[in-house]
Amino acid sequence: MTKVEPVTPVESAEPARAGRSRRRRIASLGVLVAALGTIATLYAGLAPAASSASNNDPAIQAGRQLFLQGCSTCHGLNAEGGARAPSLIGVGAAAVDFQVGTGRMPAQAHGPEMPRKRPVYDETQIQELATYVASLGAGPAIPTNLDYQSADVAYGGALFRTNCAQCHNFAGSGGALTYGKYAPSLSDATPRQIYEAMITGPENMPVFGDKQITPPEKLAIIDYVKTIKAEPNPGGAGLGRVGPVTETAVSWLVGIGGLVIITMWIGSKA
Amino acid sequence: MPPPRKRVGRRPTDDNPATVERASDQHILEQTAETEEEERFAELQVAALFLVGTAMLIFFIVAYFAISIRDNLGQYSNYALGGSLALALFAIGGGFIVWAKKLLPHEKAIQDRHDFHSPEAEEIEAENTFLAGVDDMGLGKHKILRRSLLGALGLFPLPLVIMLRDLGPLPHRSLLRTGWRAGVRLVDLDTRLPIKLGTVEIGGLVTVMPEGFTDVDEDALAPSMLIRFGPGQIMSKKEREWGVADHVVYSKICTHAGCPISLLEQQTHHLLCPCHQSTFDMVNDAKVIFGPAARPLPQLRIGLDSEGYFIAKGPYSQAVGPSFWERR
Repeated sequence: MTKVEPVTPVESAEPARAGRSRRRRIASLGVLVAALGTIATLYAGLAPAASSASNNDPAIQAGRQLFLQGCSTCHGLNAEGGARAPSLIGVGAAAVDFQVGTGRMPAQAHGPEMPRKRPVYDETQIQELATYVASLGAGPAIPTNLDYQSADVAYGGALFRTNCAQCHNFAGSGGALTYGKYAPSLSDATPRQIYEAMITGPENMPVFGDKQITPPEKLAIIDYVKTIKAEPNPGGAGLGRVGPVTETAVSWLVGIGGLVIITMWIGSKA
Repeated sequence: MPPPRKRVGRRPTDDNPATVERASDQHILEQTAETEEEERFAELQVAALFLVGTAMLIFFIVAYFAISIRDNLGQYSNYALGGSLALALFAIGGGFIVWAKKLLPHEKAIQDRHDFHSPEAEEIEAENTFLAGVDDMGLGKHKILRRSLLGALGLFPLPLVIMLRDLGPLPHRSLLRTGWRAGVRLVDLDTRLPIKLGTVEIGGLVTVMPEGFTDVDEDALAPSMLIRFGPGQIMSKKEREWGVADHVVYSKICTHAGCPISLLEQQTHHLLCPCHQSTFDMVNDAKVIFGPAARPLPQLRIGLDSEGYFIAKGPYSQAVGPSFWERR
């Protein structure tokens, strides 16, 4: 439109000047409209395109709704964390699937250890929550390859005894930590949950990343945990398989205690 | 017979047993089942217990043949055999006891306790024989006998003392040495692979050994923990300087009783020993914050080699594991 001006250079009359200035005003208005239109088109075309994946994905929206209702009281409206709970930005989908899938979250009460309980959300809701939290920052994803049955169970046992047994007991029965915390029993944990616990390090558990314990090694550990769980107790009751402590307690209290009571009955007067 | 000179091992007896009036033993018979009905009921109880015992014995024999010992590692066979035998013995024994308590006539016998010693004449005789024997040995007269006997008895404890030597040999410097030297790489205990910067995630822990170790038992003081903390979590300046980029290495052997420890609480940074609950603050030079351990876990100074693998920058600067006298 600015090209119009050089075409009419020799006009000096008043009406011509007035007409020219009117034309100029119309021209600049046109430029403004065109520029705004371009920006609007660009904005509509580009900027929302980048955010639509995180804002308009129905799973993320649904997850965000669930999060605002069930989690934001402690974890903050934007999952930024607070005095009562850590930030969830960058924890990844695996952490959400573990914590919510084992029922540990949402927590019922504050305490040294969050106990495993019946999950509050169903599988779909957990996936939505996980998708929402994963959209906040990069973190470990939910593991997909869980074909542990073909893994090397003996090697898994060696890895378990080096890395896991000190807290979770050699048979995965769990054990006490400091100040009321404890390492839980692994008997109820699913293969996916065991895998997720290793890559996310829930609560006070150390993180065992994929470079440190490779995915095949993780599957071997899962194979070991599942194998010992299926192992029968040929000698009688397993007594929690926590070792000689319970066995001694039972033989002294129940065994010897029972003998004392029977002896007293035999010796009593008829 | 010479007259007695002194009394040896004999109680002063004023009461001559012959003169003590012996209380006659009393016997009282009591009928246990008072009525016919009670007796009949007790009979049935005993018979029922014996029948249970019989049934359990038959069950045992049947179970022995019927239940395979190959199913479930013999679990069901063990349950059946052990359970039925225990119940059989319990029922038969119980039957006997009920029989004795409810059916047999109860006899109460009252019997006074009496002194059981020999007549005084015999005691005097024995005493004199002993004293005469001591005289006949003549230890006061035969000096050579006395001295040689003292020599033999005096040496007697020595073999026992000498055998204490077998508690050795002394460990000398072996308690101060581990496989860690300057430049040796840290390898994973299980995979035996060296560890690069970035292998361990924040909050992770690896049990490491010096590269080239043959067996953990051969170098039992060497197991160590490579821990990676988050940025800024390590409180102690010395601990940071001895590590690399928030990675630190500490001995895995508890300083109290030598248990291998790696119960690391990722959030509190406490390390707990499962044996006696010693707790170490791992971001504060592994200071003992609870339990019987007397000193912090020793830290190993680490660095990186040209390929980016973790290496030790020297041996442990102090003895690892439980304390001992010569420990510096």
